[in-house]
Amino acid sequence: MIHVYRRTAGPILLAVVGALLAYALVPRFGTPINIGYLLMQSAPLLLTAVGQTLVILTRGIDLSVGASVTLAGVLASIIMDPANGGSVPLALATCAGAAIAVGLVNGVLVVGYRLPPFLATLAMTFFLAGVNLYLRPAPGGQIAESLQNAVSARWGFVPVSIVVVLALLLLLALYLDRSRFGLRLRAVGWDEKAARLAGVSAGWVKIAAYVGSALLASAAGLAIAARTGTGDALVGNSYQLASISAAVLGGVDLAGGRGTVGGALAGAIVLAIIGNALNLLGVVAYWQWIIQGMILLIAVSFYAVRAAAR
Amino acid sequence: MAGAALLELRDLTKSFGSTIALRGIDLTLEAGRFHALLGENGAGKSTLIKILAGIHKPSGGEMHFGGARIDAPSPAVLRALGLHIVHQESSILPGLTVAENFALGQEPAGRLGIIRRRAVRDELRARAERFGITIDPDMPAERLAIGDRKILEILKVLDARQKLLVLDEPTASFTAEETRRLLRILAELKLQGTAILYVTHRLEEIEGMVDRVVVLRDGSKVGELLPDEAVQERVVSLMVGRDLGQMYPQPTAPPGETLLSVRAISRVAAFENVSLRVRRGEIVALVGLAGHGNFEVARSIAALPPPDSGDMKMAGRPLAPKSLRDAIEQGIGFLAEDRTETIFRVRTVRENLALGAIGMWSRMGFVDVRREKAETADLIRALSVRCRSAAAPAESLSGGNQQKLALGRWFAARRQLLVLLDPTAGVDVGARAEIYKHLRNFAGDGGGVLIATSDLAEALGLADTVIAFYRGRAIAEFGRDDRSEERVLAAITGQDGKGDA
Repeated sequence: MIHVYRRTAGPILLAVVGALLAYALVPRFGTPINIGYLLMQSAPLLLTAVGQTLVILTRGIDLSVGASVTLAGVLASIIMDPANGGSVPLALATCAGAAIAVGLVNGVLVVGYRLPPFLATLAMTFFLAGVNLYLRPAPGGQIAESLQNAVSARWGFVPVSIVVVLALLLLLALYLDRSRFGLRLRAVGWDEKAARLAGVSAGWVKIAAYVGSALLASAAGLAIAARTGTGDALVGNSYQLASISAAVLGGVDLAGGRGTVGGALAGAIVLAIIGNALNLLGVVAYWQWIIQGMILLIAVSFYAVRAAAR
Repeated sequence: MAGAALLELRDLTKSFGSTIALRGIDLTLEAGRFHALLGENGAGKSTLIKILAGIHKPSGGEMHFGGARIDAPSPAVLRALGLHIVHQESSILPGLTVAENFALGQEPAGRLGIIRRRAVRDELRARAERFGITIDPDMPAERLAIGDRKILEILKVLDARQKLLVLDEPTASFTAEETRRLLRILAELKLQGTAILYVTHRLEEIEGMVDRVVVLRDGSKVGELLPDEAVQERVVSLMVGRDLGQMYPQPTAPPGETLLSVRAISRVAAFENVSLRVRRGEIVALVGLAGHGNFEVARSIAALPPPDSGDMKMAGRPLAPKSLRDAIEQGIGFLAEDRTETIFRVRTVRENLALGAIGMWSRMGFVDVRREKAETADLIRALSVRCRSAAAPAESLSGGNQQKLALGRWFAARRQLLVLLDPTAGVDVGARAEIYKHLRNFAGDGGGVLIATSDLAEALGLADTVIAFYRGRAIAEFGRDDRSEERVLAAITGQDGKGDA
């Protein structure tokens, strides 16, 4: 599995270098308050980046990640609203059920109807955007206090929730490295036909990847909603492309098969650090976009050059 | 157990809509016997294999395995019975390790689906040892040679229940040494009582091992021969369904003046100090083992890439192409060994044929469509390209007919010299004979043909001059009268004492 670690080492190095640079160059970056804030902010990106990675590994792409993030917050803000009974378990079950449905439809469109993943999930994005705005035309509703408290609990300056998220995602990374599903996921992404010849049901593997992506996006949506306390029909939009950027920064190859969850996590942290550092430096929003675009290009060229050299 | 009937097909039929792919096949495969399955592309071999794999369901007839009838053959049912298929396309994923490839699809896993990696390694080593192979389980599969990848696929299916092994053209891109190693393993398996069904184009390679030769044509079984009956001519005429006459047409006149002369060309790490000539009316074949320079020289003549040093002349004028485009302009028609690089699959037969000559058929940048149609229609007739119409997409043609399009392109463009790499790789024996005839005619009309080939029989049968390559040097040249397979083989393996000269 040496090649797996080699693939993860680059992005982790990038994240460490980024953190050190930010620590050295950006005033107030290293303060406990900022670190706590940064970690808290990055949880949804970590979750969506890993979900996106599952799909990209199968040589697909999930554009509906952002809309799924939003959907979870919208659903939670309605069901947890005391006016509607306010049941937390019901809200969580609904979010999970909705995510599974979204993932299944994406997967079936791609596998059963052979739609290009880009189109299938783009259509899903439009569909969900409509549903989200129908359910929550204006920001509002209420997220259960218990959930808000759970998400904002801290050990010192470290949010407990981010520790839990990171631990779970690392477990997932380990699982994908060691498990039957993880091996088949990579095999399908490398060469679907060969994987089929080896006896892998490629269709089910892909469907599972889309379901996993939607579930992780749903968890991200809940994390955001618990932080803000309300539902908002536009809150997830930025995660559509940010999750892809994070995965690519983490060395996940859009051509499928190559990439690791650990790399994607590192990529998400790099993006979070960049955003945080630029905010602290008072860089205006449009420059932030330009800089992020350039960093993405540089990282991708670096990986391409390295791949060609091998 | 050898000789006991293992798999029996009775009156097996398969149709797709109104097309009948297999009709009334009766076939018995016996334990511990080596069965060869031969047939042209489209004869029904792939359909038969897909039925044995459980991918296609038979439309009629019966399948019996070990005396029991199989009512609903599915991949899982057949595998459980001990019937395994090694498909023509590799199922090895270069990005995974050897052990991961070995496990994929049948991973031994504990609770939660965690793979038992030690069990995988142990099993892989144990199976490899059975055949005296050492294999590093943790090596990335991309570092395995093509032949070793196929052997890994075989190890993968050799579980305890193994009874029948089907191999679909396993040696398609093998070196001679890899073929020998594979056959050694199969001989061992046969001794251990496994029935083998081996699909191939090349009867030569399994000589001495085969117990039964089954020939398919147009979906029917047209012959089942014992080894001593299975002489090449008989098998070929069964496969093709007619007498091919002479496979390799002979020249009608001695070669004329020199068309291409190559003097002392070298390219770093490819070939060194190579000189040769191709005369009008002559077919020259460059032969050698993979990596010994024959293909590299042919490519360099077409500037892919140009040689580092040395001189070339074409019809007396200096030839120094900087790019393939240059080479074409100076009269060379070039075909790479990989047809996907020469044929535009989704474009029509006419477009594929016209591509080389389109400039000649244009006035002021506009194609003379009437001329294009007339000229390509003539070519389709002359080359007997089998296609629905000139407007059919190239991908609807068989491999042999696609190759005729590629050749026809240069015939149309009136090139003087053809440089061809493995011109009949993957081409049926029938279409191959036609291609040889067209090449001979092209030479007869004053053209020159230079082929680099990995098929020794082709070089010996077709070429007027055979040039043997060893370690990047042209070490021996054979005319029509002074050559034999043994001598050429000795030359390309460096065993004639001249190898290090």
